[in-house]
Amino acid sequence: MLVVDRVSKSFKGLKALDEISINIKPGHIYGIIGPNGSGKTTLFNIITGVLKPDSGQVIFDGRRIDVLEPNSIYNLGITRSFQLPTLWLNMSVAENLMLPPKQQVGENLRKAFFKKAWETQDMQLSDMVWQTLETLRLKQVALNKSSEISGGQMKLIELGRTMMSNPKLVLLDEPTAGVNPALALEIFKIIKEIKQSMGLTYVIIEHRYDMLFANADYIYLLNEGKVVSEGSPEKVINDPVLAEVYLGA
Amino acid sequence: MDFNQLISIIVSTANFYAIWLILSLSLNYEYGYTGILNFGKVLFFSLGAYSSGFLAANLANIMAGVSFDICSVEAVQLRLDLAKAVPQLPLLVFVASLIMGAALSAAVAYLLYISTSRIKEGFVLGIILLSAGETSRIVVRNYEPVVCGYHGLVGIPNPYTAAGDPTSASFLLSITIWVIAGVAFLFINKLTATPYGRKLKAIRDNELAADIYGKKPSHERRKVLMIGSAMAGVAGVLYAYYLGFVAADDFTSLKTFDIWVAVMLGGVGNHLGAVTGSLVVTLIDRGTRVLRVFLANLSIPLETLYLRWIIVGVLMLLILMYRPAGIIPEKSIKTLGLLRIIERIKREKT
Repeated sequence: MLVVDRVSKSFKGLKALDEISINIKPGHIYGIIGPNGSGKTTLFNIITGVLKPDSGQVIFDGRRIDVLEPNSIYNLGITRSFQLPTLWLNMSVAENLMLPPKQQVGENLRKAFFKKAWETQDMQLSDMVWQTLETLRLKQVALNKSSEISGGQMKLIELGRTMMSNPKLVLLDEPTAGVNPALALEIFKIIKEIKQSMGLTYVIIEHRYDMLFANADYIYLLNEGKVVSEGSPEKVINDPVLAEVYLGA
Repeated sequence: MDFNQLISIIVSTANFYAIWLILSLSLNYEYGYTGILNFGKVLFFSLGAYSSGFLAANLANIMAGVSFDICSVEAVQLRLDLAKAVPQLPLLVFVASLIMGAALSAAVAYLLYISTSRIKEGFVLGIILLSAGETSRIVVRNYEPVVCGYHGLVGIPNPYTAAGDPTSASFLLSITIWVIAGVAFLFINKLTATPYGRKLKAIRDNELAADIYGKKPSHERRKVLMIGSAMAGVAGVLYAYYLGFVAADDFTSLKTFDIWVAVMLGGVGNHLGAVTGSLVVTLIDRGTRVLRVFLANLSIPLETLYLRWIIVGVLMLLILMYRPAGIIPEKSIKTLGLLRIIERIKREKT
């Protein structure tokens, strides 16, 4: 589904990714772990087109995507969330969820004039939004400005936006960062539910290893821009490299 | 002040208001909805005005088969005589000017946008537009063939010369200006009270998120700048025809400042805000001009034109301190889908 093939990226001489390769197969939850600065978010930025690699390539469903713009990559079926929520803060929670769906007729400059061309789709969209609000238990804040809600709720909206994207592959960057343990558990429960009901593939960067290891099918451990260990959660937990990366040799 | 003078002041204020309204609506579309820092609004306004002057002056020469200097007294007389001899001609030239003003402004907006499209920072485009506005004014001021340089071009005939007397022609022109302003309001309102408007606001609020969610920010901004500039070009044509005169020095960056003040006062991201803000700015502008004449008649030596800047400055300060979202703050775009969600929430609460 997604192949990251020997990708490198440097920032002013600092190597963030060093010929990294990963392989994502459909229908699984992948975890990406590693200390701060190991290149996890840079990897997401390259997959989603926010950054261009210095070398190497990214292939999604047989197509090279590292040369595409973020909006084109999104339209191919890759969506993501950010470590720090990037919501549309002047808009309500409901509006934040109404924006991600692709091919909205009413978003077209010429067709926007003709209400009849888009109103049915807009109504259908509201049903999807309602469903998502229910799944995320966010109905009570649906009309609040997204700048007025809690950090945990912002994380949920980020997750909700990925749900509204009708994606094939979802990249979540620390979906439980800054969230209380109960809500973090809830977030993982929701991810698992969506994965099962929609058959999505997830790649999750997460520092709560207990939760990630309990839910992921496969883990990549990154250090200094390289994959230093990979495999099932059990394998990576028992790999001495894990302790080495975090505690030093 | 007699009744006729009062009517004349009201009509001229309404005309200036309508022109300012088109400009404010276009800036609100660009900045209020899409976050484009258009500090060169006056450039596109002036292009419309220059198109009118240039077209009216040169077409008269072409039609009469002469090659007068467009700034000469003979050329001015020729324009006015030709308008009387072929009364339908000024209307045709007016329509052609509207099309040319809009198209030229949109084309220049396109070129300026693509020149900076590789640079993500929005302020770079803003500075380029600001510089382009000033540069164009200086060039036109010093290059006579466009609109007679420093002196300006006089004798743009009223498009309704066919109406016979000047009063009727002026009245018809005023009606045209108001109708075009009304159409501009309806056009922009209809365009943005849609998922398209919501998309633009998403680009404005967080470009990265909009891009990640498939919204093509650069592509959309380019189109918005072109449409907004075309609107400003139309406003420029109306301005030139209303005054019957075009001069480069009328298009300093202070005009851009006025339009920004109107949008900021009224409330960004909200067309009713632009309607209100441009009304306030027009009233201050025209009010201080009328006061100047009034005081001069009373032999009171007070220059009230500067008072205008003081009033605008104080108003801006008050607005920013006490009502930063403007007189009429921005509201959600309530498409049918959103209204349905609101309805459902209300139902759940009761």
